[in-house]
Amino acid sequence: MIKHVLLFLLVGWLISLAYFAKEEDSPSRVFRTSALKLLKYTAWTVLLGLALWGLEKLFIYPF
Amino acid sequence: MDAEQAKAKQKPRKAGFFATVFASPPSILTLMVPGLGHLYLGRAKRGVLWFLLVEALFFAGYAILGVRLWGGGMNLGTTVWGLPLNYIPEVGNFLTTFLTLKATFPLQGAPGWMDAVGLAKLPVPWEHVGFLLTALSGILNVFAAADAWWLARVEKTEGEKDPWLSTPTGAAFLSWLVPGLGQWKLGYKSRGTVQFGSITLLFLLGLVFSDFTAVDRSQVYFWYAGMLFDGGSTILSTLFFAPLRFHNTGSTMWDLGVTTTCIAGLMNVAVFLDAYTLAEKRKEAAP
Repeated sequence: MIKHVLLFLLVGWLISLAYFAKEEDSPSRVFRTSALKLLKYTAWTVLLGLALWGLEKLFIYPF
Repeated sequence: MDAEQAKAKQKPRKAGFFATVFASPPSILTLMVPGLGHLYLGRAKRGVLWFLLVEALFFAGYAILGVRLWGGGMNLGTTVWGLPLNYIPEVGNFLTTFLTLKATFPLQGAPGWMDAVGLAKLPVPWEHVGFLLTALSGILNVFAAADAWWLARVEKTEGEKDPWLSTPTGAAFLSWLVPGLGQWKLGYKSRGTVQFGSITLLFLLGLVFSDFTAVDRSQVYFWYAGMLFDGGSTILSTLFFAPLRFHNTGSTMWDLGVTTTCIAGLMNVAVFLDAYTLAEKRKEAAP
């Protein structure tokens, strides 16, 4: 489980870094921005997943 | 305020992507036949060079593959409507791909069709090189179309006299070949270094996850089209690793490897478009 989470963070961070490199000029700011964006969108994805799971529990398979 | 004043006050609207590409005869012509757009613009020498380069790549690949070329994407059909999906990225060189397909592969249900399907599925020696060459012809023709579009734009003003690599298309090409190289050449060195590091590391991770077998077009036909946007890494990996014996035991790590290399390629699209934009802004700012 830990291995998968770390892999996700590594691959996700590299993707984020590749994309946000064009947004900032200094490498340190790029590293920071890409990490923050990754965390932000990961948090939104987890929240959305939980909301969908909750809706399913409430309305589709309540028992 | 009368109508004319109101009209003068309106900001000029910037053309969108489709209007830019599809209302530009030079780029459409070049997407159909390599170099035709350049010929249309009166740049015959440049057009002939593009034509020779793109067609040489396509037919060198076809000489190795024969009808095997059509084996990868044939499951979706071999009609003109299926072509843009089936034969990516060759379809960047549209008319050559379409006419060669029609000339060398029988129609579905026609005599000899079943034999041709069998041959198209049968591996041939050096097919990794053949598949790479035909794929490169499609990718390079997209750069040729972008070059024609750029020439059409600057011809209206002062004309393009600079060497090709210093044009926006040249910068994009450099970043396609080595992520960040176009930015590096334009003076954005730290940006280019971060882009190179992140995309190349992502690609290498994908190779490691898949035991170095992810970049094999005969196995992962459609994924390969995405990988090829990271040109240099994919060319080298194809030449060195595609002939390796392939073991897919259903491992999720292998799947992750294929996905990661493909994502590295697709992320490089953002990088080479960024190089294009930077070079374009520099040209616009130049006196």
